[in-house]
Amino acid sequence: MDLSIRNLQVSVDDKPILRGLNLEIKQGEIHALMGPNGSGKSTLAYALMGSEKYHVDAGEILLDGENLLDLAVDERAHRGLFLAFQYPTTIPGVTLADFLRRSASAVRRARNTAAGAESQETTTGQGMLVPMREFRRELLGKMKDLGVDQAFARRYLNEGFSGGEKKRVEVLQLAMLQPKFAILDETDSGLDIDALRTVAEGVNALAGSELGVLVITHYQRLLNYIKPHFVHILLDGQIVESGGADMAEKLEASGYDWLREKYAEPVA
Amino acid sequence: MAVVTNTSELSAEAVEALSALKNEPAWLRDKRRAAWQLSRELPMPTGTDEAWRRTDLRGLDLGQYAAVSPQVEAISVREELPAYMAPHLAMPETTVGGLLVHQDGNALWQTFEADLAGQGVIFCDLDTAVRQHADLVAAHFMTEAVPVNTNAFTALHGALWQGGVFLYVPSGVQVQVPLQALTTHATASGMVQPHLLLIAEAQSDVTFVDEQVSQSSDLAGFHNGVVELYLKRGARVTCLQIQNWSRRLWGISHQRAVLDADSQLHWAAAGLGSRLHWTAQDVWLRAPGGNSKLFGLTFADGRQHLDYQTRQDHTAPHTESDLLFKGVVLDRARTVFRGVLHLRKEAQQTNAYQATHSLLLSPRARADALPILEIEADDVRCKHGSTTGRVDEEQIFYLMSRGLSRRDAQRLIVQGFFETVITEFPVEGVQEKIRLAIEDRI
Repeated sequence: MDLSIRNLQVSVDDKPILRGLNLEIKQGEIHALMGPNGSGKSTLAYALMGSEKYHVDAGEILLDGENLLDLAVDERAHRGLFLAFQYPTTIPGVTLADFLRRSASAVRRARNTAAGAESQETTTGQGMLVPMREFRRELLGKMKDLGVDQAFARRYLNEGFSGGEKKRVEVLQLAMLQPKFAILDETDSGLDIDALRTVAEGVNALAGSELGVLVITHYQRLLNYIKPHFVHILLDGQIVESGGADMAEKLEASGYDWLREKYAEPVA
Repeated sequence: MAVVTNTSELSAEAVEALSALKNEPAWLRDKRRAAWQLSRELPMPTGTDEAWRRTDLRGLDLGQYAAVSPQVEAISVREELPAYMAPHLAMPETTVGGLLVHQDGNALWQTFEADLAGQGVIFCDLDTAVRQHADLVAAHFMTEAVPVNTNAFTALHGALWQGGVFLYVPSGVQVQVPLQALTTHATASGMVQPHLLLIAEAQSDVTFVDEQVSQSSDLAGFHNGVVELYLKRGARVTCLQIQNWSRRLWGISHQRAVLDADSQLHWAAAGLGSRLHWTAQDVWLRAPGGNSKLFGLTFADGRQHLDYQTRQDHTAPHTESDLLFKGVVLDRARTVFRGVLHLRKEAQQTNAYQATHSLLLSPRARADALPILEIEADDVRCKHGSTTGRVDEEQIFYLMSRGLSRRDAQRLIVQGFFETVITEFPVEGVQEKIRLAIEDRI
């Protein structure tokens, strides 16, 4: 099973950001995508998940051969794609537990019926939810694993959470929804070293033969804790270099400037 | 036959007939007569009056509603209550100390804990109170809180009110369990004019729940209700209301609480029903230490029109009032919130706050929010804020990325939007009622 991005071209407000990006991630692999600010890293994350603000001009995103571009955001989640947001939004009045029960139910229901025909419109009436007791046990267990205070279950989603708490809760959602491919968008930003370690441990525990991970990051810091199999450098909307874990260390030592010089477009 | 005709038409004869039917004492009959006279003299509110500018009453023809509902005997066992009432009577997870059910202005059924009665608490229909507690009723009924001469509607109510709840809590008595009223409208083209008179004596404490519904959601009718809450020194009152009349009912409500020294009011109202409803919801803080918290929740869809006119009237120093209204508007519905903060010259060292938030879920939905500050005192704190917006696409995207459909995401956001005000209805059973009513309609 793999996530295959082919010649992806994406624009935002008619401004081209990604200019023909190619990337192939197999389940069980950890890929790191690095690049300077403005190179298009977050654009890739949002485009993969299907945000309407990001317009796909050309290319394909195939998950196990199925073109995700034809699918709505929730359907992509049902197929097994997950995005850990750089800036998770706040949903006032909705508790983390209630939200997660609904989303876990929706995702599992869709996957259970996936073998059959097109999944119908999903609704989250009480009867369609994961049983409360079973869900609570699972949630509290995962909260414990990830060092998330159990009191958070009853708090409103991301409301008043610190930067570190938001990121932990993103990883908690990742653990609950059990996707096939996870994109971590700057999950390290705003984290102190302890939070970084817990988040990384959480991801490492999930990453295995079942999960493919795309770690998007500006700094090499996170990659001290999450060891990538592959590192890709994004520059001006294209992957210009790919290599092993040592690539990240090289970048850390010499920065992005040499890449800019190497790949600078000739001035017209 | 003549009597029947007369009582169904708006007329002096209807007033006489109603008073006679109820065998009312002279003072009340005279009060009805005077009110009737006033109702003929006072002009109907029109758009030139600021409080009525956004509600068009031209389609309201009072002549098409029966002025007096036929008398119905109370039933003898609870099982005889009409089936449509069952879901409204249910209060999950909640034990009540008494229940009073009215249909079309007739008291149908009542329960009341004997130990509360033993402590001197009075919870009965207003006709009974008129007979048994005339002094209390005469001193408070449409005198200070909602005077008969407020406008043509209150005058009409004074003349032809029918059915009502009387709740009296003696000094120092703490009622630990909520008292519940269900007021219904079951006759097509009926005029429903219920009254609520709540008197909490010094240092008493009570929670009252009132739900207003129609037998079916398409029953035409006209509601003209009055609510009067009196909080004496140090009293604490929690009043929770659900307005869920038929979608073919036009309604007018005048509601006012009078707060004496050191009293505390927690007043939360949910506006869900009616084709058109105009509600005045006022608090009058007339002595130091009074504290009022008002909460409102409105859900309007189809072509509903819900208009709330609130007034936080401070006429004494060291008083505090707060208000939070949240509304969701769909389809071609419209909500109006016009909230006056009035801090009189005497109201020094007073805090008054107001916040309103509206969520528009359809392109043609409309919500007007008009905060009005009338500040005559110079040593006060006042704050108001209002937001009107649509569901945040970022929130939708976030929830959809977790596998929820767009509809479910929107539903969850709306529920969350309301949740922070639903928690201000501090009776579990009432919260559940509101959640269910909203969930059904999103």
